[in-house]
Order: sequence, then structure tokens, then C-alpha cells
Amino acid sequence: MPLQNVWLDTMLELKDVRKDFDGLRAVDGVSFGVDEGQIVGLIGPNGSGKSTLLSLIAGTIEPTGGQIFFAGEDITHLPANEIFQRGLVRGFQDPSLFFQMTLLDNTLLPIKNQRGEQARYAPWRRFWQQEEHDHSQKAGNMLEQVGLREHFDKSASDLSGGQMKLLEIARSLMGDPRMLLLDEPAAGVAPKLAHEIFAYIAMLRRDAGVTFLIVEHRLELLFNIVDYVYVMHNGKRLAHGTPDEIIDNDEVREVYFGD
Amino acid sequence: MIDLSNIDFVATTIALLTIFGIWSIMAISLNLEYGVAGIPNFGQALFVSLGAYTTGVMYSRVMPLLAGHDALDPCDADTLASALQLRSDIAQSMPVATFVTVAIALVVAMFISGLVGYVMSLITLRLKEEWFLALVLLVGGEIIRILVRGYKPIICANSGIAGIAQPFRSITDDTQLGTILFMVMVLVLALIVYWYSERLIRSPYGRLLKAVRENDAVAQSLGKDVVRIRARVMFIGSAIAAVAGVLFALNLGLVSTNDFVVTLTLDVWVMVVLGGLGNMRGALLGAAVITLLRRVTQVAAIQLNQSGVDLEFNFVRFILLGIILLIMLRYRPQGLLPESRRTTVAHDALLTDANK
Ligand SMILES: Nc1ncnc2c1ncn2[C@@H]1O[C@H](COP(=O)(O)OP(=O)(O)OP(=O)(O)O)[C@@H](O)[C@H]1O
Ligand SMILES: [Mg+2]
Repeated sequence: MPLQNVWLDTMLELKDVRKDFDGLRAVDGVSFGVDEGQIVGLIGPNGSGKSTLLSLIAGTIEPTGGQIFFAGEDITHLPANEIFQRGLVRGFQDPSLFFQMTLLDNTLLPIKNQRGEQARYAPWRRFWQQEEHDHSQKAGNMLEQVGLREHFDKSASDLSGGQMKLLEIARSLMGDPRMLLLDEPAAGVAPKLAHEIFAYIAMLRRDAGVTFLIVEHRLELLFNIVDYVYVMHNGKRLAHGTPDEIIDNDEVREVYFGD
Repeated sequence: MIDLSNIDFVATTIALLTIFGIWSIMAISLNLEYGVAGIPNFGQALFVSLGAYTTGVMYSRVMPLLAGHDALDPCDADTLASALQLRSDIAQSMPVATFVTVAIALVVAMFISGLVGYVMSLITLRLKEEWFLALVLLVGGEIIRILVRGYKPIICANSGIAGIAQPFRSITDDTQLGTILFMVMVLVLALIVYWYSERLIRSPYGRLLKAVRENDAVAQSLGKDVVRIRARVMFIGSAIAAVAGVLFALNLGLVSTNDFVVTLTLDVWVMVVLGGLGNMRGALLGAAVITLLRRVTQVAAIQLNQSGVDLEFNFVRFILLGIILLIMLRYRPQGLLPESRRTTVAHDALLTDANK
């Protein structure tokens, strides 16, 4: 059974979720839950179905079977944009910025309900100038928080790999998420910056109450901040528990640590 | 060999500027759809033709009513000549009926064309990605052309509708003044379309379109309804293309399905790729260059034929267009005038903050 904290509400719940890719069962009957305000880790060997699972939750791909609930609502067949609107925001494993756009434009894009995004208002500045100004202040502060403000006018393609990861997190946060799905936020990032990213995640949970589900291979970072861990193997949920329980789990040691 | 002495330079300049204005509108339309939003619309000929067909219908069936006459069947062999005469008479003597007809044609054409673009996009993009839409529009344009060509009630099938006089003929007897005024009208409309599209791309809406162009999956996961956004910009782009279609018909004085073949689409594509994807000034530049190239090759073709050279010189134009396209795609894919990186005034706001 997944962790049941009676004093917390279940934020995300998966029931027997499956995904087939032409014969390949990438996700094979996974069930689990994430409670509000938790940071939950999702680990497993390469190709075990972690990224696919995040895509299923975020609505980027449709499940072959099973059900997904977010904040009590069945979101199994909702399109990705609707899921975003409900406060469930995802990051991507591969850099997924808008590389031809400036950092500021990247950061402004996810803001919800922008009047200036409607074609009928767009040509008339007076309808959205004030709103845009407020948004750009907010975006500037967000870029400040991740240490990228001075670069706001650069193209996203001019950033380093680590900076791109930071920008992606900043961009996700501009959509006011209740829950963030992150896919290897520390991959390819220098140790110091990787530590900062994870410290930032811990702070977001503490100060803003954001719930996290994080896929990460660098367990020394991940296990510092997570409350709970799910382990996947061959599309199935192999184990679950607190970080200490997972490290001591023989099955996990065999398939994941290789000893 | 090429004789320039019998060319009237004033008339040529007026004609060229008029055509440039019309092509500019087409280029801006495609630049908005493909350059900014990334939708490869291979149906430019279709949307332009909808504007022209609407003009044909309005001139032949609505204008006589507005002028207080019965609308004679413009296609029937018995009434064809008198219908044409009536049309020309009204267009040269009754300004109110003429201008109201043109205004109605513009509004109706924009709406029909926009709706066709919107619905076709919505249906096909729900099923498949945007290159499928490109194909549907390319083939659809040709199918509709063939249907209109065979179905009399619209523009008298393959005979087309003649006698689409330019509206300013109704207020002046001076033919050249009429064409100058029409040129001004075309250029003013082109300027409005330019201004409108420029405003669009420098707004949060422009940012949204660019995001959808660059990575639709990510835009979708950031809360954007990609299919609807694409369909909406197709409405706008198709409506703009229809404006060009109305002006095209008025300029030519004739609506015929022969003018809306795939080569029209190709010309517009070359303009946009040459000028600069996502840059509206680039679209204008591309339209200017290709308009000139078309005219030079057309004049050369006529003169060569007259001097007895048995060569289909128009092919040279297609070869040149092909070469331009290849060179641009190979050496300067962003076009002569690249897109600006920033979108809205938000950047200026932060810049002034930074300089404080
Ligand atoms: N779109 C797809 N089409 C076909 N097969 C896919 C697709 N996406 C993923 N797969 C397959 O599904 C399986 C799970 O892939 P997934 O990317 O979810 O693994 P992962 O756990 O994220 O691995 P990694 O740690 O390397 O990122 C793999 O065998 C992969 O090849
Ligand atoms: Mg992965």
C-alpha cells in the first residue's frame, strides 16, 4: 500500500496505469499516490518507464489503461493543456525550452489567462500593456530567484545546460503549479548547481507548499529531500518506501545498484 | 533585342505598385501562418481564389440589385452580353452601388475564407499534424478550383466573370486617375494589414504563436490549446488572403479559375522564404523582389515572342524562383531580414529597470 498520511490529502493518485507502445509495455499496471506537500522520488533503471509515466500523468500521451486522479478529479483522458490549467505542471527530460525566444519570453509564456494572448485584444496595446508590465516584473523576480535575471534578453539557446534546467524550473513555476513533475532536474548539471537546484526544490515545498514528483538518478541529492520513493523496473512498480528502506531493499540493490 | 521604347513608365509604375500591394497582402498572410505560427499553408491559391470568386458573385448578382436593376443571369448565352453591359455601366456611373459592392465583397470574402481556413484546420489538425493540413489545403485548393470550373452558378464555370471594373471608375472619367486611386486603395489596405500583423506579433499573442511554432508539445503542456490556436491564426491568415483575392479580381477586371493554380502558392512561398520568416518587413521585401522578377520575365517573354523567338520564357521564371528558394534554404534559411528575437514591450520594461 502507498503511504497513507491521514492528515494530508492525496494530491495525485494512479490506479493500475498501463501504456503500450506497439507491443512494448512501457508502463505495466502502476499504482501509487502522492500526498499534498510531499516530495516523492521516482527511480529505476534506464528504460524502466519513468519518463513515460510522467508523460501519462501530464497528459502528453494517453494511457492504454488505468486511471489517474489529481486533487480528486479524474484527469486520465484530459489533454495536457487542461491538466496544466488545473495546476499540475511537468518538466521534460530533454531540454524543452523555446530556444528561439528570449529568457523573458520563455518565462512569460506559461502565465495563465493572459488577455494579450487573445487575438482580438492583441493588436490593441491598451488592453494588455499594464498586465504585461506586471507579468514582466513577476517574471523578472522569478529569473532573479534562479540567478538568470541578468540574461533575460538572451535567447534560451545561448544558455549552458545547467542554466537551461534552471530556466525550465522557473518557467514551470510561472504557471502557479500545485504540483510539479520533474524529470532528472540535475542531469548534466555541475555538483554545486545541482545542490542549489535541490535546495531550491526543498524551499519551494516548504514556503510555497508545492508538491513534487521527481525522477532523478543522482540519489545522493534526491534522498536528501524526498519523503518517499517509488522504484520502477520493466514498467512495473518494484518497491516503495522511505529513502532508508529503499537503500536497504535487496531487490532494488540488485536491479538498480547492480550488486 | 528587348525594346523598351513602347513601355509607358507611369502606367507601368502604377501597375507594379498595385500588384506589389496585392502580393504583399498574400505574403503577410503566409508569413503570419508559416513564418510566425509555423503552419505550412500550401493553400494560398485557395484562400485568394475565395476572395476573387466572392467578388465575381457580388459584381454579377448583388451589384445590379443594389443599383435597382434585376440581376440578369451572367452566364446564360442570351443574357450574358446584357449582364456584362449592365455591370460595366453601373461600375462606371453609380459610385454608391459600386463601393458598397466592393465593401460587401471584402467583408463576405474575409468571413468565408476565414471560416474555410478555420474549419479545415480544426478538422485536420485534430487528426494529424500540421504537414497533413498542408497537403489537404494544397489538394483541397485544386479540387475546389476544378469544382468551380465545372459548376456554373458561381462564376459561370470556365468562362469566368468579366466586367469587374475598378471602383474608382465610377467617380472619375480619367482612366489613369482611376487606376492611381485604386493603387492608393490597395497600398492603404496593404499598410493596414502590415500594421495589424506587426501589432499581432509584438504582443503576447505573437509570443504564443512563436511558442507553438517552435515546440507544440511543450506549448500544450504549458496550458496552450494548440489545435485551436492554429485554427484561429488560420482564420486570420485566410481572411487576409481573401482581401488580396478581392483586390486581385478588381485589378484584373476578371475572375477566372485559371489564375488560382498552384504556382500562385509557390510565388507567395518564395516571397516569404526570401524576405524572412516571421519578419513582416521581410514579407514586403520578398513581395517587391518577386513582383519585379515576375514582371521582368513576363515582359521579356512577350517581347521575345513578338520578335519571333520560339521559347517559352515563362519557364525561366520558375527556374529562377526554384534557384532563389534553394539558395535561401541552403545559405540563409532565416531570410534576408531575420525575425526579431523579442516580442513585447516587456523587454523594455526590464531593460529600463536594469539600467536604473
Ligand atoms: N514514444 C515511444 N515509442 C515507443 N517506445 C517508447 C516511447 N517512449 C518510450 N518508449 C520505450 O518505453 C520504455 C520506457 O522508456 P522511458 O523513457 O519511460 O524510460 P525511463 O525510465 O525514463 O529511462 P531513462 O532513465 O533512461 O530516462 C523504453 O523501452 C523506451 O524505449
Ligand atoms: Mg527518462
